[in-house]
Amino acid sequence: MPCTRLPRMVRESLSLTSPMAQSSLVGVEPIEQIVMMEDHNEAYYAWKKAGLRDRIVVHVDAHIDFRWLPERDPAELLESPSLSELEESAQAALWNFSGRPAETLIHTGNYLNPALREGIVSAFYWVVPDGFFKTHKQRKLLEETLDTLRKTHPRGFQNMTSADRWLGAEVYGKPMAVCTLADLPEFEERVLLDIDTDFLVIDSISASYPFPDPPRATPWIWPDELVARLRERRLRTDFVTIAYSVEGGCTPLGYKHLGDDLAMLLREPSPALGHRQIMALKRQAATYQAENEIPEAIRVYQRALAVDSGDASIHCQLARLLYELGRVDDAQQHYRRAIALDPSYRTAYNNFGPVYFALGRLAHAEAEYRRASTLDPDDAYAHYGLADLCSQQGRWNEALVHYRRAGELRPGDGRARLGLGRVYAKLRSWPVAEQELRQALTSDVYAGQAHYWLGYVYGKRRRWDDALVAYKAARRLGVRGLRLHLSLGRLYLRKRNFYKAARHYGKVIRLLPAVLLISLRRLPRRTIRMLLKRSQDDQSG
Amino acid sequence: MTSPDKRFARDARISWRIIEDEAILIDHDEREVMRLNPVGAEIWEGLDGTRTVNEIIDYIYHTFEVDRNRARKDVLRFLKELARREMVEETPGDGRRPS
Repeated sequence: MPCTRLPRMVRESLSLTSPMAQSSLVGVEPIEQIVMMEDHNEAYYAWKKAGLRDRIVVHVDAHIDFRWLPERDPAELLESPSLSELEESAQAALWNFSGRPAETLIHTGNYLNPALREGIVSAFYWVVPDGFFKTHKQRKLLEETLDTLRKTHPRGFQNMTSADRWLGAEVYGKPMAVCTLADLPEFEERVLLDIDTDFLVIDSISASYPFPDPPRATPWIWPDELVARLRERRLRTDFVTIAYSVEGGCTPLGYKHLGDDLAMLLREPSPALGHRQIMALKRQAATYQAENEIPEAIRVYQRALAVDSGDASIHCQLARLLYELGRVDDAQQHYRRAIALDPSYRTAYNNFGPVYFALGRLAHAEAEYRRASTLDPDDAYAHYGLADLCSQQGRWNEALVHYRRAGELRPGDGRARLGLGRVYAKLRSWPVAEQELRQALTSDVYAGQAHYWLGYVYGKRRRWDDALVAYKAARRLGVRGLRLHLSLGRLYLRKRNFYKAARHYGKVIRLLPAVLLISLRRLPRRTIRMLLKRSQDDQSG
Repeated sequence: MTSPDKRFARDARISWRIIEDEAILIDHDEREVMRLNPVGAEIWEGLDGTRTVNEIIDYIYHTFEVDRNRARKDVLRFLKELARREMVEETPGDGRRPS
């Protein structure tokens, strides 16, 4: 895109030239400073640690990673010298009612927010996968993402502009733009290059976006192609951050290596022959895999192993493929080798179970968890996955077995106690349920849910006051949702506190559309298609 | 109906301050900021768990020079509202919070 089409503020920021010293031309000159991370919010801490200020960030990612963060502590309102100042500041900011320090609220979905607010970033370009601008529908979805930001905090997000293949706005008074690689302007100053590996594998905004979908068969763009396209933009940088984003399911574990390949290509634009060979072989094998030519894919991966036997990603892929051929022992061996080489391969996301589970495709999820559990019988995550799934389907006894096994593998883990408590509650074994849930209260992560389920147990046992205390504790610990408000509404109604009951039922009504949408997402695809068809038929009829 | 001999204390979750005779209350659980007018602010300040409802009514009656019956009605209605919102709780009478 020519610079003349840029929003005015973007152009102004681009005209501010800064020293190009110590920067490298991406894809041409070696880049020394490359920080690798699993969670993308580590980029913010890396920039901060490096003392960076007023830098343009080129954020190459399938996700914007900019959400609103509470800006100020409500206690500050009480410091206001006058009522008029109080009123003014109450309107101007987003307030942190979470009860947690603001810095603990930074995560992978919002880390660009503090980077902008704190002056690390002066302008922000979100480079999206090509598919995001490919159709009118995709572009519209992208616009909606920005519009939601604007609606939530109109003072923080202003002056939205749009062109054919370009969206722009001012965030906290600083320019931001959304475009594809082809439309990224040439910068006169060095930029911070911030890449998420999921950019390579997510090519469109799907119905479940921003949550992950089952992966594409192959990446839509490979690391060498991405580097070549960045080279065309003549980007200069002195600081690159690359996130794998495997945890959470955005990058399939099998493609985690793309992040490493990318780093290697940026570090050494002309890599050694061995590296080039391995990359080519992995690509060839992935293509065979996508075409379901499993024996061919295995053969090519084995050739890659002959070049580098210490590559965990190859062992991981081989484990999956050999399992599909029923060669379980060989598959287990490769999986064990992958974990030995890189312990991060033992993760809840070493299979697509969590992704399928979230999408309500339970049969697929179960097959994935069972494979993970066969490849590594000591994988607690696979047992948790199976336990959650059995519990969702009312297969209580199986759920108990898997929660117990997961608890043995990870002693002291609140998740097992919480799961057991939940299942015993469903089985109406109240004393055991209470005992398990009380043990889960000691866990930082699961205490809120444990309080919620204790509320459920007390409610069923007609211990209304205890139930109310437990539900309120759950709420204080951040548990939100329709069921909690329904339960609280019901309890307040019983106490004849109609004001509180109405408030909670009001929240139920407000949450209902979102919950229905999530439920719709979880319906099997066939049912969704049937419903859509019926609604189209109704409209045409 | 709230008995005039009862005592109420402000719930500890509410942080508050008087600014220009009005009380600014922050309810973290409900994620709300509330503003009480000067009469409400006086009542709120009086809810320390040691004063009876009657004493608060007397105080409002003397401070704002309103009809006693009106003061009584307003205080009771206001206390009822605070109780509904769980912003106050009844105390045993010696300033201690209920266990």
